[in-house]
Amino acid sequence: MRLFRFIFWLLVSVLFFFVLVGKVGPYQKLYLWFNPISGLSPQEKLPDWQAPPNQMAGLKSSVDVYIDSAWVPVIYAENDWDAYFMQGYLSAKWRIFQMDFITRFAAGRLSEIIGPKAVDLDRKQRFLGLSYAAEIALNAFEQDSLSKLAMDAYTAGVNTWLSQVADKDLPLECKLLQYKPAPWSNFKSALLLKYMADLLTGSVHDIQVQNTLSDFGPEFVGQWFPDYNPNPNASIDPQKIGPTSIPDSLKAKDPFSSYLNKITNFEDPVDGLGSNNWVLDGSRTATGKPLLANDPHLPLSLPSIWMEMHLVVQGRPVYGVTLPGAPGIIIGMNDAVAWGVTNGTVDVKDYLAVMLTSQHPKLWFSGDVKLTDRFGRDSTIAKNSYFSGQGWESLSYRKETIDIKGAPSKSFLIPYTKFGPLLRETVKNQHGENLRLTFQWTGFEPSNELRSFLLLNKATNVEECLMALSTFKCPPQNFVFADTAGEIALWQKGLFPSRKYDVGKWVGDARNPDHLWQGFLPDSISPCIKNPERGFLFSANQHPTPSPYPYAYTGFFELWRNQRILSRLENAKQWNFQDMQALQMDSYSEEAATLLPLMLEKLPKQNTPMYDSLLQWDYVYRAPSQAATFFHQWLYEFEQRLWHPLNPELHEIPERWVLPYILKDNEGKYKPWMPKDSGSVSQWLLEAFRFCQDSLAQEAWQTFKATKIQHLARLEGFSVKAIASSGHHTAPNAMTPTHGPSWRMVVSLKPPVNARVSLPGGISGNPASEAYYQGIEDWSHGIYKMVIPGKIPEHPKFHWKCAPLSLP
Amino acid sequence: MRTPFLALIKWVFLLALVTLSSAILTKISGVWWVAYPCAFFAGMLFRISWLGILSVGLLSGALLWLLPSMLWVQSNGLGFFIALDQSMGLPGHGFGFLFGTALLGGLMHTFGLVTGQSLLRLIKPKSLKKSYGIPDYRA
Repeated sequence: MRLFRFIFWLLVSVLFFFVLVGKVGPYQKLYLWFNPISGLSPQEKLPDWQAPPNQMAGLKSSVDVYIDSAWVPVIYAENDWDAYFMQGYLSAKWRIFQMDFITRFAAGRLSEIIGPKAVDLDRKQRFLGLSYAAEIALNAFEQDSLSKLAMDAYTAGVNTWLSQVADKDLPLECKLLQYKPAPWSNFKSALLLKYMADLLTGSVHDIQVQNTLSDFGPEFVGQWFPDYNPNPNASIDPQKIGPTSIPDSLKAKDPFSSYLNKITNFEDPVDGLGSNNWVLDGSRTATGKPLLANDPHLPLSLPSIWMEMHLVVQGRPVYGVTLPGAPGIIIGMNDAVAWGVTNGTVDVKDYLAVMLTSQHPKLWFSGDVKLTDRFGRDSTIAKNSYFSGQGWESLSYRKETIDIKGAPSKSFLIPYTKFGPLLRETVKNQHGENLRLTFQWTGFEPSNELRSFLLLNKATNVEECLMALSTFKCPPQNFVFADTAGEIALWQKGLFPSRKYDVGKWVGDARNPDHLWQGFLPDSISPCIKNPERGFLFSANQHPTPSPYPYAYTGFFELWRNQRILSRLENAKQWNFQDMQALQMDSYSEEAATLLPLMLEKLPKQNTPMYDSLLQWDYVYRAPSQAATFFHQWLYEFEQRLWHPLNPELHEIPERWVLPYILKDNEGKYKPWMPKDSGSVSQWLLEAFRFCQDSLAQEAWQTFKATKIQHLARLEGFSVKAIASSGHHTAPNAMTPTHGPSWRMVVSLKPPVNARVSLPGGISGNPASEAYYQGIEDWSHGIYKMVIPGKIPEHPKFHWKCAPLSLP
Repeated sequence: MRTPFLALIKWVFLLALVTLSSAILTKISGVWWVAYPCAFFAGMLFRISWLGILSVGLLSGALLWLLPSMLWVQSNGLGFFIALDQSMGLPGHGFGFLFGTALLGGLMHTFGLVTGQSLLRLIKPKSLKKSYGIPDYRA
């Protein structure tokens, strides 16, 4: 009996350890989460603020790091290598999970840490070709000594931290997923930049417009999707650029020849991306020197997409935000210049339908054959070829292997055309031919965006800033610059495809040479302006140029924010920080101011409190406003009825600048162009109003909008929900439920350069740290902090000194 | 001398021994499972009731495994653990993770003690005569 009892408890103990180290249902290795040494529970002394070793291999000279009172690191180094090394080290210390997770996402390698659940997402990412793009970019980066030094130093810094970190000090997310981040590499830095390029340019509307074309015809698309809205408030005067007539050579012969049957399997483009930047010269500021503002509207996440960083190399400072994983500062200022960016939103990614030999009805053979194509050209066709504008060409293949945690790896080949990856879905055209989709993207062209940022970090005047952009290609960005000498400039810089008119708005036909890119536009004609007479420059994702512009471009351009900013800047006199900040926080909507009076005019008078509220509303999306919520919903519901049977999930809905024309149309001028015959604008307005009145809760705008800053890996507990904030995507304060001003910056170029900045989220990615949620409250209320580049913090929280490793 | 006082002394001694030896060895070695052999050998030191073993095991294990979390909560409040429970889909509103931690720590110590005690009773059976006045014919 006693022996049995002992054996029984021994077996129970063994079983218990199996439970702790093995797999129980969906959970495995429970000891990694719960054990008191390296589990999920935070230790009293957070690793975030543990000093780096006094000596580190990899440093060339001594480096001083201060953590200032706002938890921002200030790195004082004697050379570039050490500055970027320490930047990499500290980025890893605070953000290694973010760096690792985003680059895994970009490369389609999440399955390695998440398991089979992520395989579909990984496969989709592999077909985007970001690793392919990063390989091309890395080649260009490494040919440039400046970029190579920065990347090598940064990578060395990250890997030094990885080699030092104990398992107990790994980020919470790594412990939850039970993995240790892989070593960093220059390739991952390149991949990160390509991820951002894809985020800012990859979400195009070609397929939705294609579906609209298929279902409603070319006349409908021609009417409602013209190249320009009539009031673009372009950031550039076209006279500065060149001829204003459209050359015949740029007119496509048959822009619609390829249109395909409806494509249903595609991802909705991401909306909410945008930004504001503007710069006033000394004639409009109180100091007589330029003021520059920038607020990029990006997904709001915790930790923030940005990381605040302050580098001082040999006495020259640079301050601003960077992407964890990239050396240098992306948006910011130094002691002589400041710069800001907004997304160009020019379409630089075009879908093309290609025909493969394997899918050609007459080409089921297994060898080469000569064939005359529909354009009368003789071609020798190899197996696994596709037809491009120049004839039949062979596919190349890239082997992809997805390693899956807890499951066997999966390997597959992705065919590449000369344009880009060949997508899996087969689509039919109107002749019943099976076609496959591919896409061309300027992100696949060799470029060196990193060099541009590194040069901007060191620029001493606006001219050097402009020169720094020579290698910047993708994503196209509107850069604004100002310097302490008083000069200002704006350049929409990027690599722009040269297209025929009307090409690029929908899916093109790779067989038609007119549908292919004709090359790229030279930099000399890209929109650039310096020291304008009106004393300010701005961009808010609107058209960079007014119509007519002699070079065809397409994109998804902002309509309302830019009007508000323009009207405020035109009246700017003696502006100071407060005026600039007030404009960044301005929640006045030009959309509401334009559309609401017209909508109310067409609506029969209603005896409801909400109708009266709308009459009195000042078009400002304030946090407590119920009228704002009602208008937002009413407009949406009206649009649904107006454009029915267009389906927003399949079709492109015409942009809202067309609404004033429709609302003012009392003669039925637009009736033939509406997608349905019955009904009237007044009727749809009334229906929508009653629906909103009867069916929807009358909520405050902040409650309805419910801006949320979501944890990077979607861990609900570490997200911040329902932030009480004003703003709307049509107002300068472009706050949406998921996107918003991810960094607010106002810089005075009166020496010494100083700035007011605000960032939603602190330096640390550790949810247990006080520097994780830091800044969100101030940011939501428009409270900024003051920064002075190069100034040693007076009351640093920490001061760390690191020296090179001295050999015994 | 089977008195409640002696039993209490033994209980307190065992609790202190298991808790302290586990804490020290865990700290020195950095190995999370070192508490099991500690408890095992402690369980072999002397006879104690099964109820005593169970309570010492659960208490010392929970105490040891919860210590970092308790120190954290004392300085920073329960917020982190509420967020952690939400993120892991655990019930408990901040106590789910803590309960899991205490339970696993407690069970590990308990199983160590129980197994050690079982071995003690196997190799050194209690004298029947001493206990019940019955001659021990096994001797």
